[in-house]
Amino acid sequence: MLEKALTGSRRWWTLLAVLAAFVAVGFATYLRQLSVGLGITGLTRDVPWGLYIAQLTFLVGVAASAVMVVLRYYLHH
Amino acid sequence: MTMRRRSFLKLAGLGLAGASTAPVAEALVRGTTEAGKNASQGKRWAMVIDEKKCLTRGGCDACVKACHRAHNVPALADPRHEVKWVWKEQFENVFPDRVTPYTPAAMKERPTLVLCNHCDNPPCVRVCPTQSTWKRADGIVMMDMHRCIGCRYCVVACPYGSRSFNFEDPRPGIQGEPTDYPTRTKGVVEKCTFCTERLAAGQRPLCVEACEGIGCGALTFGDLGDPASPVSALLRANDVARRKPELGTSPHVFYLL
Repeated sequence: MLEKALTGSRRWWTLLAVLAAFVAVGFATYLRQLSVGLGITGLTRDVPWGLYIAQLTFLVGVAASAVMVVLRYYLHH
Repeated sequence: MTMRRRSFLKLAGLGLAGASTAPVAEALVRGTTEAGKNASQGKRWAMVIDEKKCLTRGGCDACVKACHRAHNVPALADPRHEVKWVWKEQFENVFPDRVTPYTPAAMKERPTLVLCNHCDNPPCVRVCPTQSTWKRADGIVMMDMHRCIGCRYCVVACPYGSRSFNFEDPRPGIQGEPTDYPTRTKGVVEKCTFCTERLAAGQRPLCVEACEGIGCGALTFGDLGDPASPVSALLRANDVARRKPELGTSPHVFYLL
């Protein structure tokens, strides 16, 4: 299945590169948070959870539902 | 005696490992026996804060300074990431139900000492997913920073804001030479422990001693299980207040207002 993902047009590779850039930025940000501490997320004494946690749980839900949507295509193929 | 190279290395490694654990084991044994000898025994530790006495010394922060110095609590530049064990808060925020629209501003804004209430029914303990905070048999709500995963559940659960999360590395913020008390790392929660390390050595909490040291004596600490203790006497003789009693947490820091 993976070999299909590794063949494609120039546009396909551009798309992959753009997405990979997003992943790289995210990973770099994560490393920075790991070294500096949670202070850089904008969380404070008064708001110890806030948007940071809300976004996390929201995106976990989005990712799980995306898997459920894609899964059907493979099952019924 | 003939010995192969491999078995010699193995033996040498084992010997080294054994030698390096010896001081650790020694320290552990020493710690437990010393603590057991003079430790203060209490059924239920509690504190009484005499507000009127405290107010006679306007901007005094002897207790706060003594505590934060001894426990390596950092002084961070960003107030949003502050770590506090004991500090002063405006009265209207400490006792919101004791303020009316007619309370004068000076009364509302008077600085009131706050710290962990060491509740009988601590919400922070109930929510902790790793049991890194727990209630001891003598009523102290204790904290193990090694077990803490930094989820901040307890910070959200505590109705008194007594818990602080290390949003950044606290070590650069420590004022002066660090003391013997273990320093913390970023990503763990910490709070007042009623100076368990001093109780184990038969001493009273540092804030209480600092307050007495400057001749004020607004803080009283003792065992509620002992009817002869100073806190028991104060609670018998006075009308005392507790923070947010309606929540059913049963705080054990009492205020003489």
